[in-house]
Amino acid sequence: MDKSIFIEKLKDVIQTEKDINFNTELESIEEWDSIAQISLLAFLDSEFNKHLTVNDFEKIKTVNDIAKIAGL
Amino acid sequence: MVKCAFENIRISGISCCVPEKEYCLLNEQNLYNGDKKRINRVINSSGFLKRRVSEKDVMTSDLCFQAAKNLFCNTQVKKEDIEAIIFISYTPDYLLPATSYILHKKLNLSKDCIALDVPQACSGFIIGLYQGAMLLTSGCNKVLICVGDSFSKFTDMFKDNTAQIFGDAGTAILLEKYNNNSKTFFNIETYSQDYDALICENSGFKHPPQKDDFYSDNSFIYDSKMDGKRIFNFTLEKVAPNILGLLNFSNIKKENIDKFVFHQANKFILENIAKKINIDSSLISTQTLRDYGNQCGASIPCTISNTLKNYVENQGGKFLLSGFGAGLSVASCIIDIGNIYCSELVNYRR
Repeated sequence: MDKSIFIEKLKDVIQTEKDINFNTELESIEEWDSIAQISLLAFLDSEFNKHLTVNDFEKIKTVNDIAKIAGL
Repeated sequence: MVKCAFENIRISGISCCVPEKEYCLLNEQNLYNGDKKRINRVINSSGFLKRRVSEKDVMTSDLCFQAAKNLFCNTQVKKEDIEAIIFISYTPDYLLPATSYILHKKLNLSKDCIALDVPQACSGFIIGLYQGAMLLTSGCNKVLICVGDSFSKFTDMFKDNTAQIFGDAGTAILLEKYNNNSKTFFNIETYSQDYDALICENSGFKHPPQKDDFYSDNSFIYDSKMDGKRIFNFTLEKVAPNILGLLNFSNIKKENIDKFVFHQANKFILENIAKKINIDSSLISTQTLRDYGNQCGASIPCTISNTLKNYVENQGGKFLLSGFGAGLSVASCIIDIGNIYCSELVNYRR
């Protein structure tokens, strides 16, 4: 997946209007809550066939961390 | 369990009961510390809006009792012909005796009847059907299945943020032998490695009540915990393969299934399952979770009652039912339902 498409899709998943890039800290996104995290699980599953565990959530800090899991 | 099939059984009546008192997320200002944007996000993604909560002294068994009475009033079945009653719930009246005995007494059923409690949660209806099908195969002619839950007994519906998705309900379903050459198929799977993803640790003998298990008004705090992400992952990974495995085993194409009725876990989960089994999400109703909450084991019969009453009272058709949840477990079933009595979701009355 193209990186700019990935960013747009991720914004949809998190349901945020905020301008985000690969360096954006997830904690700085107001909508990054349990709903966004569940949506992220579904997104990674359906688009990349990747599964995150609860422990993985403690390790992901930035958009780039998510991209790495997706294999981008 | 291996996949299995039963011949010549049918559901011959469905009756459902809910508490009258309704709560709506839009009116609950204290939820999520009054964060309205957050409440709207919850409503939009999960699909929950309203739920029914029973009075403190109204038990799941009371809701099931009213549903069963209503079933006897509206069908030809005689109480003395009921040879088994199964109560499926994680909110019994007592641990001892089983709640099926309470229902047996209140319904005035015959002594020639076995009373069974099956403690199950969201896959409970399908597991109950399976249990009923086994009893029919081994000699019984008519089985009364009472499935219901009152999550409100388990947690403070107004202090706990997970409680707002659950609604109370009790149902009664009649299962009987019927020579119509129909086949009913089951696929039931157990994933006990995640038994603690949805657990209430102080609900049994292992962790007896301690002093700090009580609110200041002396009401008991059931310590129910739900690991939402783990359960969500489980539904993503396990439910669709279970359903596809059942279709494959039964040799029935999904195009030949007339109605899909799934446990009303939440809208987001159901949409993902629809995507994974490659059916249009419009085929899976989420109306019942929106208007009544997640009714746990009762959600499948309540969804039939709430959205398909006329359909099953007339010609009906081939149903694929799927329940999944605490255990963890996935239980799916293909069964013909039609030309039977089906109640609306009737309000409980004392």
